[in-house]
Amino acid sequence: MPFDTPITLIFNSFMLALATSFLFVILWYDVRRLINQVFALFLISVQVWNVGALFTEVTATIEADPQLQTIAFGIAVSGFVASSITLYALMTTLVGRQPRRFRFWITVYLASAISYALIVSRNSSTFADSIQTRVFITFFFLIFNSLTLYITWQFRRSVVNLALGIGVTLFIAGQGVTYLNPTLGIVSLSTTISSIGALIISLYVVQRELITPLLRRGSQLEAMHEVGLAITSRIATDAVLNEIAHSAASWLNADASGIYLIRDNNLELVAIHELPTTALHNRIPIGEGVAGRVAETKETIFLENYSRDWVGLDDLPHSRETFGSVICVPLVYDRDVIGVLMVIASVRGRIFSQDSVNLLEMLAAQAAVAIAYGDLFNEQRDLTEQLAIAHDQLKTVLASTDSPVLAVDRNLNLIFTNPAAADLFELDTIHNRDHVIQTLPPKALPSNYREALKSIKTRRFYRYEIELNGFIYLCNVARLGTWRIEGFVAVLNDVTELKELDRIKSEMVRMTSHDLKNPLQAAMANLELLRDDIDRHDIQDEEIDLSVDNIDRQLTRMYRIIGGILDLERVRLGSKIEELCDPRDIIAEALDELQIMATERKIDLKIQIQQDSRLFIGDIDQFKRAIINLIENSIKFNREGGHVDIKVINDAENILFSIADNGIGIPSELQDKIFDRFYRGHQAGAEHITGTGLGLSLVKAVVESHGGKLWVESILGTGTTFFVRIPAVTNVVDTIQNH
Amino acid sequence: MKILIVDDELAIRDALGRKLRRDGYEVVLAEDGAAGLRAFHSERPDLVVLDIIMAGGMDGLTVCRRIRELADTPIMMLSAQAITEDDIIEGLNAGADEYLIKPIRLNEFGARINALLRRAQISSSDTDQVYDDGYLNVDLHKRQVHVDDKKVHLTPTEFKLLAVLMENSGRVVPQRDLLEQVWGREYIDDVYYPRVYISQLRRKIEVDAANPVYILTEHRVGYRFEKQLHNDV
Repeated sequence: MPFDTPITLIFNSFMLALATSFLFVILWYDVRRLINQVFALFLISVQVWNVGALFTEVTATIEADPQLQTIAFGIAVSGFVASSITLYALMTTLVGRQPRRFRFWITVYLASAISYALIVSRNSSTFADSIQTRVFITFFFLIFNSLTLYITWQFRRSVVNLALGIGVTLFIAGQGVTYLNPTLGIVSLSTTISSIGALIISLYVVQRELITPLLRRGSQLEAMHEVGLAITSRIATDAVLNEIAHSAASWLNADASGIYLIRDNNLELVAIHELPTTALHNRIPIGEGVAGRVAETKETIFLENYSRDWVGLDDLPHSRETFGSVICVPLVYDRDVIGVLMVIASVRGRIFSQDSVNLLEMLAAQAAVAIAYGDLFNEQRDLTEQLAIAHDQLKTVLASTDSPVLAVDRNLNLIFTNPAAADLFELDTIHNRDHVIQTLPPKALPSNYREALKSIKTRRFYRYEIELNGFIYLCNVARLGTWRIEGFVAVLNDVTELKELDRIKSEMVRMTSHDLKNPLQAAMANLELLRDDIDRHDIQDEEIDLSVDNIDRQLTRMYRIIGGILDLERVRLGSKIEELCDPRDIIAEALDELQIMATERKIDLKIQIQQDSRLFIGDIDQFKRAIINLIENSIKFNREGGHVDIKVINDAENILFSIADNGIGIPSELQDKIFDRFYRGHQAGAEHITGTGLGLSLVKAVVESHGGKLWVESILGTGTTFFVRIPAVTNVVDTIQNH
Repeated sequence: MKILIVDDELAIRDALGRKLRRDGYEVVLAEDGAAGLRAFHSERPDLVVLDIIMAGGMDGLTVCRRIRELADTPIMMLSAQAITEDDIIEGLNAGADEYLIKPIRLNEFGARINALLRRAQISSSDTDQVYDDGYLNVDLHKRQVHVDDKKVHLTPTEFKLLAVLMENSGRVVPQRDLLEQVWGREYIDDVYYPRVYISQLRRKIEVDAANPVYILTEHRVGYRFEKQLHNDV
């Protein structure tokens, strides 16, 4: 028994206690993690070895039953071999280089080694010294310890630090001492050295697996906050992206990182950190490569070894040779993937952990928001710039126009006046945001707000005349806003001169027609007296009759032209009677007047009036005249035996009259002109047709004075259809009361 | 029957005159307003035909008003200038019974002259009816109308219109019946006549012509006279 035995015993016990406590701590912390399980196995193995060695020593010292000594030795050997195997397992797990079916093989090795040692030692009293035992120990010692040392050396920079290196070396050295002395004379020295090694390894593992994560978790929020600030304080997208790439790499202690964003259904590498610049703007389809797969599935991919674990398209040229551990997380904003963030460790670099994944996912969440905001901000800025340009252009246009332009919001507060408007109303262009009632003279405003609003809602504009400072303006009001009314814009056109011209023209028409009518009256009266004379004196002369008839016809024609001009003038002067009109009455009365004409020309008149036909407000005589003109037109410009279809249909708001013939039609280039005053179509087949050329312009004037619309559709040689649309009365009771 | 024609256009005056003479009327011609008024006083015609626009001092409207100050003689106005109904109403306001727009066919002119004379002659109703509600007082026999105790001049046409409506009081008189009974068969299509004369009449007898209580419009059918209770107006 060596002199140092008590100290060794105490030391070993201490080691055992410490190792046991580490064992419990690590298992308590997280029993499911592979590294913890392997570490626990390692500690148990070391303890078994230590206990076995102690037991062997004690049985040898007290010279116990040889069988007992053999069993003790067997325990020591199985612990020894298991320690080698589990140390290797621990190291491969630490560096993340487990071979395939790692657990299975480790279990097989352990089971075979331990069972061999135990079974053999039970059955053989010479086990301790046998050559068999020596080969057995040597085999496991050499194989696993050299593998362990190799891994330690290989990862000396990235994973293995000095403490771990020393621990592993000490442990293996301790085991080596045992190996050098098979007689077990200095077993206690060996176990002591190995225990110190195991202790150092344990400290490293505990620090790495327990203390560092705990410490990091504390600083994690702070770091997150800092990174978030760094990202979100930048606005230009490129700067944000670079900041994210840089932060991700440095935070995870990675060698490189890159950000892909979705562009035209592809992923484009838009920011890189420590990747070759040639890779920038590299594109990869969604669904291909790690990045593409992440973008497609919206789920993080974590690879410990890119070339080993990734089956699919390479993300970048040479990525299979250069990428080691890789984490790729989706950048999701508002449930849409906008890109992916990839963090890469080189082949010799670190192996990321689940912690790294969690961290990166947190970073990605913030990054996605920052990127999306950056994009939004840029869009907003572009839009604002364009708006500013458009606004300036519009302002220039409005400022340079002579027509006053005003805009109000929906509460009728002035929001814009151009210089012309400011001049007219003596307003301050910039500062005036008051209500129109306070700023504009009452006569500048529409007299009937309800009617104005209704017109703007249904027809999108309202037009009224105002007189200011001796000028007459036609005020056109339109709405602002597409869906709901945001306000109104009014453009004032100076129509003073036009009005004056119009007045002069009306005066001229009046005077001329008067000057024409008196001679015409005299001529017609005298002609009638003459005809009377011829009758009374019983003069039978065809020549005289012919002359008198001709004179009569020409005078009648003149009379009709003058009548037409005056009819038109009457409608234009606008003194129309407003009463409830029924389309049925109008059509019926028109037919009374025209049936003879139609029968003479063998033209069939067909009427079709919607059952629940509606009423409208208007001057029934004027309107009847208009409809008669249209039907007369269709009869006149028809071919013999043709037909005229007269239809009246209505919807919720309008009544539509249509008068269709199958006559000669109107060439498209003339269709606009036929409503002009005195225009008569000089087209083939229509030369014989008489008329004043005023009929359709009268129709147009009547329809427009009733707030309606007149238009024509015609196909040459096939027929013509005239349409008249006028607003129907919506509430008959109200309307009767108002009229 | 003596008819006075006042028109500054010789050709028209002459032609209209010849037509009426052929129809058996005695005709007096005047070439302007002043001459027309003088002729009215001296000749005492049964009917006057007046052109509205006349060169010289006095136009047809003035002549019409001056005649109305003195007599209820039927007046037919001729105008070459009237365009809108407002123009016609202005003429009727001056007291004309008939307003024709030139040019007019001679036959129609003759027919209208006959109708107007007939209207004036048989206007005094056979019924000895007096209506009085304290505000409006109408004596159909004496052809006198008082509104608020003031005598009101009605033209023969206006009076005839009122008489027809009152004889049918409480009942609707359709437009065509009204035209036939007041103006005559020739007028049956001149639907605007009742409209114009009714509004004239309302202006003379109603408290508020815009909200009539005596003469009510039955939309698109005709008109109805409604008696009022004493002191209810």
